[in-house]
Amino acid sequence: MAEFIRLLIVDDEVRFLKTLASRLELRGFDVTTADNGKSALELAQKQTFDLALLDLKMPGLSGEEVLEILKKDHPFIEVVILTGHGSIDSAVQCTQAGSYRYLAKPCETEQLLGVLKDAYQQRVQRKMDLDTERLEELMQSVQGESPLGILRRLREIERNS
Amino acid sequence: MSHYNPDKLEAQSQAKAPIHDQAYFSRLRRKLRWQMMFAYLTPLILVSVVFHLQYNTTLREGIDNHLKSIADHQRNIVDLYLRERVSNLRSALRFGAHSIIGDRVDMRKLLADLQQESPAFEDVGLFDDSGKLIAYAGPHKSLIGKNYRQETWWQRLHGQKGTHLISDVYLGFRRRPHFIIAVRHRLHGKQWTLRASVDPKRFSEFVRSSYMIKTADALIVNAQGKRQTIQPPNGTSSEIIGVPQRTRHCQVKEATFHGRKYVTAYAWLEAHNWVLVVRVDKSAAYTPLRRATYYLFGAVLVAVLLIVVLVIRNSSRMVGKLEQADLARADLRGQLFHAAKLASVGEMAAGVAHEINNPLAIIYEETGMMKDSLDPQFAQKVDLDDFSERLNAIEEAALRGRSVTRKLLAFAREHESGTEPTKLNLLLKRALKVKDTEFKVSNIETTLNLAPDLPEVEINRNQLDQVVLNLLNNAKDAIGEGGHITLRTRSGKGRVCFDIQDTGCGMTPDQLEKAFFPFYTTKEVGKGTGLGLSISYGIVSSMGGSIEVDSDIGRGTTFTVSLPQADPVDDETNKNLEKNK
Repeated sequence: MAEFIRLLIVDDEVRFLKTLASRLELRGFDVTTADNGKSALELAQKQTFDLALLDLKMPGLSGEEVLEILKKDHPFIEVVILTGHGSIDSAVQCTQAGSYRYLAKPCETEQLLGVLKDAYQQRVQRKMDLDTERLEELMQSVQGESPLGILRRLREIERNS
Repeated sequence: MSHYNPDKLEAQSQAKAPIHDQAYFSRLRRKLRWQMMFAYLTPLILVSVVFHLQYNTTLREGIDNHLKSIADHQRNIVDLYLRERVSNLRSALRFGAHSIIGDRVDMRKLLADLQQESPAFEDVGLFDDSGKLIAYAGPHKSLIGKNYRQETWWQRLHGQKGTHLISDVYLGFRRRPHFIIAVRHRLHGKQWTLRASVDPKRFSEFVRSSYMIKTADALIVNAQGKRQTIQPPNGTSSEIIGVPQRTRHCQVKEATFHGRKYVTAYAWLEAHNWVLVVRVDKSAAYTPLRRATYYLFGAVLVAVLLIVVLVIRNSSRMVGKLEQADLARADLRGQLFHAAKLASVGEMAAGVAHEINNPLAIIYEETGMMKDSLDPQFAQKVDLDDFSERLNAIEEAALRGRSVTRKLLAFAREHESGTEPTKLNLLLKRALKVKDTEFKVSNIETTLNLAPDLPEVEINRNQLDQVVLNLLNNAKDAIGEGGHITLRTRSGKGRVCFDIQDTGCGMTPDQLEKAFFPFYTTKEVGKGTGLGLSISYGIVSSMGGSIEVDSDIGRGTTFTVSLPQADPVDDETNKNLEKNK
């Protein structure tokens, strides 16, 4: 994988958290870890993440709450649930709340990697869709303008982003 | 806050069901027998006694009345007899007056005429004014010429207004017991007296002749109770019989003669100052009464025996059926317990499976990491310290998994019957440990508020485990996410109690009322069986305890389980010992 995928892993099982982080780093992920919901949300405020791997049953903020806040504050982050307390009800609930996939512990590495890659592609796709949308909007808004005017608009957009 | 005690409902709907117990049924059988016998026999015996008394009285009155009527009848006959004899004499004196005057009295003819009227006339004598016997016919010719002026009968006859006299039995000049009938008549200025003596033997025969009870004896006594008739076979004529006051009507009394009891009727004669006594041997008189008593007693005895046999047979049959029903019920109850247990094992297994997933995930990742280290594609150096750390983590995770499965196994262990003295505090702590992880991830804090020196309870640990876990599960479900569960123990008045209090959603009074019904659940379909509380109630009741619940909607629920203390005597002694210290 050429680019580093920025991944946030949240789990209260510290041993599991560390080991999984190491393994994913070996596989080219840029991994940040949090052992509770509150610090995960704080990290997400400071840095940008492409993906989040989220446990559900945690002391303090539960995974469901973290999921809700994350998706609200950072719409482009793709969240994959990885939990030991898997149930169909909670899977449905999480999917409705906007999670990308719902995985049960223990999860095979290949499957996890596949899901994470798919999730990343989804994120890229959504980002690209949005960019195209914006470009189209831009094209429409600059229709009939002079080349100099177009150039000025592009510079504006560049500065903003 | 609403409070609910399922025992109240239970008490209304059915008697508290004891666990199948042989001694209980023996007791029940005995009790049932006594009650049924009492119910059947009391009226029977009461009716028999009342009937017997009533019948006795009626029959006795009947016999007495019969005797009375016999005595009355006989009295009339004797009266008539005596009057007839007087009138015989009177007419003999009147019709014989001519011959008397002519001193040519044919006394022999006179006697023959009289004897034709009644053979009881023994002799006849004619007395002049001076009391001298001037003419006589009969067996005692030597009496002729004797003067009777000083005789009692003479004095009485001539001292009274009436013209006739009947004497009591006396010996007189002839030295033989007899009584006389005398009449006087004035003719031509002279007082004539005609006297006939009556043979007491004949008279006695007459008196005895016509009564109707075979065993009855009739006799006549004078006002002093002296016998005037002769007792048939060499009886004692000297017998004195107590005589009641003169009354017009006949009287019946019980009297003892010569040590024998008689029913005796006394009837005063009108013709003379004598009493007719009719007596019947009491035992003979009341024979029908005795016979009736025997019949009644026999019938009652047969009825009693029949009832006893039926009661014993029916009560055995009834209790047998009850016993069978109870066995079936106990069996069903056992099955229900087991089913509920399996259901809760299923529920637990789901929770436990989740708890195993976490250590499994650790094992999986650690081994993965070690494989990664060995994988040339990642170009990692093999660090043995790191490996040993990872192996330790794997071992720890495996042990963690084992402890989870152990808890499950301990819970799912085959239903063990039998009770043992148990420390409740320990049991609660252990149960809480089972739910520990589950509570932690749901952000449920727990507080143990345990009384020190809590007396032991005599219970089946397995079953009480189930109750506590049920209540803890309910508390957890009521709280959902984030809350507090408090476990408290206390003791007093021979009971040991524990509370499980949660800060959950609470129950409405309606929910509270149904909480102990089987299959009632507020949980989502498929989440709860609705058996937990009803089974818990069954278990606690079978331990002789009770469950009560207090709930406040939105604030939480408290379940209180009260159990009888094990061997309170020992505990009392312990307390005393402690005091002495």
